[in-house]
Amino acid sequence: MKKIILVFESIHYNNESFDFIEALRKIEDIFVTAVFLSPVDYTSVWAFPVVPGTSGLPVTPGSPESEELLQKHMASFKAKCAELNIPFAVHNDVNGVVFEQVRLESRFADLMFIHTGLFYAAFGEQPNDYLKEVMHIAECPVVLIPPRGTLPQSIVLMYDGSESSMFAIRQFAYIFPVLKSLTSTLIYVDHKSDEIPDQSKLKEWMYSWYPNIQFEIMRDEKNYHSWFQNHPNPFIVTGSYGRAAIVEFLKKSFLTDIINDQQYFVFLAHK
Amino acid sequence: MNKVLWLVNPLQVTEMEIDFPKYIQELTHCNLLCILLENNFYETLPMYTGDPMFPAVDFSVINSTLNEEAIQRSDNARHAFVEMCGKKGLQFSIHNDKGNPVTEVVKESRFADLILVKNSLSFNAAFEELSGNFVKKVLGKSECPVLVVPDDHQVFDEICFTYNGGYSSLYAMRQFTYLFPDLKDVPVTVLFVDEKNSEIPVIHEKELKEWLNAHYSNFSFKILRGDVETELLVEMMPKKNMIVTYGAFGRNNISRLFRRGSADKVLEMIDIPLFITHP
Repeated sequence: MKKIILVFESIHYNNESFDFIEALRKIEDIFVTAVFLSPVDYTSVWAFPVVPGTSGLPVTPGSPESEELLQKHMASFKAKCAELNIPFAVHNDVNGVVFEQVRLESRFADLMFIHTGLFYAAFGEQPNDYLKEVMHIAECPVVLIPPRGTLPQSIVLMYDGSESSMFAIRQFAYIFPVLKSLTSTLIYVDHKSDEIPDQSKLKEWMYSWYPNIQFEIMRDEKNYHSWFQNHPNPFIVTGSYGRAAIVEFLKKSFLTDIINDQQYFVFLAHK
Repeated sequence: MNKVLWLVNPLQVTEMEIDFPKYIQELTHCNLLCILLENNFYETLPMYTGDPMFPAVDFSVINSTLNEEAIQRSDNARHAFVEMCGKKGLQFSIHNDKGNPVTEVVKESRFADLILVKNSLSFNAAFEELSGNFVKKVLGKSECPVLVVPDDHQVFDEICFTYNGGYSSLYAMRQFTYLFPDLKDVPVTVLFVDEKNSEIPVIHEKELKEWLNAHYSNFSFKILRGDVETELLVEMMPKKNMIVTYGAFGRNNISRLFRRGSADKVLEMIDIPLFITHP
């Protein structure tokens, strides 16, 4: 059984992530903890301004209305878990501090699920500053659940020859051994080279986990849309260029575009 | 867990050491890849310059008789090792790595799930005096977890998670759990190491229990106070057949579970399997 935390902003909630959780529940035992966070991190309010033109905050944080909304959302989560017969817990972490709470909660979890359609929408389009920061500080792998996505039917492992990409691939294999049977492809993104680095060692490990894996080289990652048409509903597995530099990685258009599209499930892990 | 690297110096290996990799293989059904590491430093004869002012070693020549003997000896040892494993019914494949053993192992570790190594593995006593212990170097640089194996054969009848509330100790616990999913009914002790010796230690019990509950059926907590390093040694020295997890070894930028040198002491003084990894 694995412990999954679902993180929500206390005033925005829906049950859309449960499609994926329900599918997962059918193939293995899971324990789900809902973590409700403050709508704003007051310790870093100046670093993360609300973006004009977005939906903003529907209610004032700390008001009776927001407390009422939180109670309603908690009840909705509990009802859904009971309906699906999933063991669960609810953590009320509404205390004005978002990032420290996420760090702490993720330390004691195997996986963190984030619904990108809702997550701190007042702070801009995804990936917004809150999402980037949360992905950066998370101490367990993160799965981004897109609002418009259909359940993953294939696995796409992004490899760039680095320690961190291999780290993410290994973590995915350990956490989701049940998804081994899906069609899987390893993509090496390189503009110049035709050689995948450390190919023989890589293949030896890959075949031991994914006997039917395909290896492909992607010349230009900007054309990923057309590439994904041949690989429908992928679960994209990616690392970062070192923990400290994850923000750098997100600056690269590729991953940002994928998150921004809000169509693909993304598994992101870094040390 | 699918791919385990087993580091062996064929000149040193004893029959009893083969039992532990065999036990790991039976437990996890992994592919065992044996890396035969050998000392590639040739025996040389020093030549002196003859200059009375600077009589230091200037250059040296390879002593071919000694080296031929060494090559012959290592070939024999390798054959004996393969035969010994065959007798014990161990399934494995062999990689022969030439070059610097530490560099080779680190390179292999990126594409492996676990490394098995005996604490006392060494290649050249004189060389190691200068360069530090091989196992400690591998621990600091490996990209996958390392299981340091005791000299005698032991099994996992008990699990001990050392825990200081920080990321690295939880990281080690999680990695161990993913690699050995079949141990969920083995009794677990969480050894909380209170580094600050605070009156009310911050254990994050609620969160930790949720995680433990998801993975293990039988667990308990124990809090160590006072001089943590000594207490830990006292706790572990009489133990056998227990696996201990440690987060962080030799990477300066992360919070360490123990102060400098403490893990070294543990490595030298206790004789149970140690699972060591760092984020």
